[in-house]
Amino acid sequence: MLRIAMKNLMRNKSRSILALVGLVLGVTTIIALISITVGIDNYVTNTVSKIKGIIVYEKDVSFLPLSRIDEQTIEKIEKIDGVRDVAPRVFVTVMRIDDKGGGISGFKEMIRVYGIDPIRESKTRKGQHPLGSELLRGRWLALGDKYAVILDENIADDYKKTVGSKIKLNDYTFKVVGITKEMGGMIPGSATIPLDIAREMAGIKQNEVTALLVEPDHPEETERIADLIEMQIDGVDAKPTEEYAKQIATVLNYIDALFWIVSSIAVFVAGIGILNTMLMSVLERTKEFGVLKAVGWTEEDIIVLVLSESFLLGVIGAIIGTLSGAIVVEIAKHYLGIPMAISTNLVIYAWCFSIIVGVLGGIYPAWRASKLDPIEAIGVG
Amino acid sequence: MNDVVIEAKNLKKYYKMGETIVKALRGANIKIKKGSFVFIVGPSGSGKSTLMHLLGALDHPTGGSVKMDGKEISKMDDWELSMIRRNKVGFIFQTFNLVPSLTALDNVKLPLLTDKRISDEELTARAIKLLKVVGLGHRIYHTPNELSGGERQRVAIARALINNPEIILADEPTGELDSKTGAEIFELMRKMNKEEGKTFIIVTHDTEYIKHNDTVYHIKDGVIKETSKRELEKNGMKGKKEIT
Ligand SMILES: Nc1ncnc2c1ncn2[C@@H]1O[C@H](COP(=O)(O)OP(=O)(O)OP(=O)(O)O)[C@@H](O)[C@H]1O
Ligand SMILES: [Mg+2]
Repeated sequence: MLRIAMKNLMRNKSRSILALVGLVLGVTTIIALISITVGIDNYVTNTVSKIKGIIVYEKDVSFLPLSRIDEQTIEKIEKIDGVRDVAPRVFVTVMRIDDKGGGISGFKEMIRVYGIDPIRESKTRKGQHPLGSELLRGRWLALGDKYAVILDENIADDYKKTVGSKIKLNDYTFKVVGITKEMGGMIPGSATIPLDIAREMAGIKQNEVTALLVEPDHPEETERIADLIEMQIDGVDAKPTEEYAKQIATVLNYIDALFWIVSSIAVFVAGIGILNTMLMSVLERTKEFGVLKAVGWTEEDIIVLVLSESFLLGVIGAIIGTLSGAIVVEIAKHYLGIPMAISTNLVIYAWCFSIIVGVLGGIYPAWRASKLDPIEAIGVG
Repeated sequence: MNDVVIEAKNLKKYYKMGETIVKALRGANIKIKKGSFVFIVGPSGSGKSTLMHLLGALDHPTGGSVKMDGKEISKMDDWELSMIRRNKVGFIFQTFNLVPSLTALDNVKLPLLTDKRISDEELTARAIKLLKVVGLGHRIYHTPNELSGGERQRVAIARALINNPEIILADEPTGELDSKTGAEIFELMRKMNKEEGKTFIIVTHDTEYIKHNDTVYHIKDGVIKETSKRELEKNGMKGKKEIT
């Protein structure tokens, strides 16, 4: 039956393709929007909101990892009254570990890597935890370290690394000098490397960094100091990390709303598309359905045939939509430089969407086909 | 009388055409024995196709009865009629009515494709065998538009035989074919009748295909009369379509 249904779809390819456009667009938007939203959400909660203080980045930059700040800004900010410490950060996205990874839906080989300045970092964190997490084995990064890395225990476990092992991140080989407790969150791992190597990996100029972390003398002054930095330093935005996270969350809420709007429009458009296509195809094949009935097919048999065709459209729409969604996510990953992955649940949701819309759009045409009078349909005199 | 395969009594079929009522059949009687090869003739519009539809469980009569294998089918619902068509009837149409997207093989399999009692392997094997019987062993994977008219009608004959039916109803099976091809198709149908013992009921305008000892029924004014080739010739009915 499915084979016959497939043949029927292949008969009028351009019409079938037209019917698929709506479905594919629907599935693509669902997959891309959700994956990107979740990716950004995870990234923000993991990178920014974990650290208390002020984050300073390039003014009006659309996305944090794209920010570039001149290193001299550090000294300028240090001079501001009420600022205790300033620590630079360079964000690196790693997609290959030990030459594995880089696939479409791999959280696994995607980790956050930070370039830090060990000296400034230890000042900011009062010589304790550069990433706010506890050192389990080995040591922190020190001045003069080059290809040295601190892994969190997640990565260390996943890749079976201990202090002294080698690990390849993208095209650079590092020696593990320390292992920290995991930081939690959806993205399962992070690693810390010296600033210079991070710059090289991220393709950032020698005198630039991605962002600065500023710690005020008194935590209750965080907001005032942030305002002060914005006023006194040209070309930067300064936000308390909590506020920054909140701001991103608002944007994400908009994206979320947008998702639902687009989703429902997609259901509508795709549904109408399938309905229209199937109806046209059924009317065009009136005679054929008449023949099927004449040779003993029941109404149910014909309903099953037509629904199989629209079901197949749903499946094909799901396959193509998933692929194009994945491509959009890949592109977003590339431009935003943050880890994103398409979760299995999301794919299941999108497939259900596509198949349900496909089948729903086929119900009326199937019913119409089943009710054809064989004699009239065949049209013999 | 269990060798009567189909019997119609006082069969009536009226069509409503707006205000007027067209009485296509006004009390037709016919009784056909198993294994016979009978003809139905009559002028255009005399109700031949209408009778075929009723005998073939395609339509409900306005009145009267149709018994197939002793079972009354005129009052059955649509689903039961589908089952009768699937299990007991084979149709051959003037315009072949093959599904254009499907191969000869798939077209032959079509009637039983949704029947769960027969496996696909078995169905395929049977369809191939039938295609060979009708002389199309070398055209199994051709689609209808790659076949000649005569070949298409052979596929249709194989399709009509796939369900091993009690009766085969052919409504002007050679209407679209030249006389040589038409003769071949009749030869094939007579062969199936003789070798497989299949009952054939054939509507035709071409009296040249009728033999002298064939049973012939003549429909006129909505009723059926048994006649013969000799009588037809005497009354001047030739191998041409009559227009009324
Ligand atoms: N669906 C219909 N609605 C109305 N009238 C119909 C319908 N089908 C057939 N008729 C009428 O019933 C009469 C018998 O038609 P039928 O098709 O049985 O004739 P026929 O003997 O097969 O003619 P032909 O030799 O031209 O095929 C005709 O007058 C026809 O117009
Ligand atoms: Mg007719």
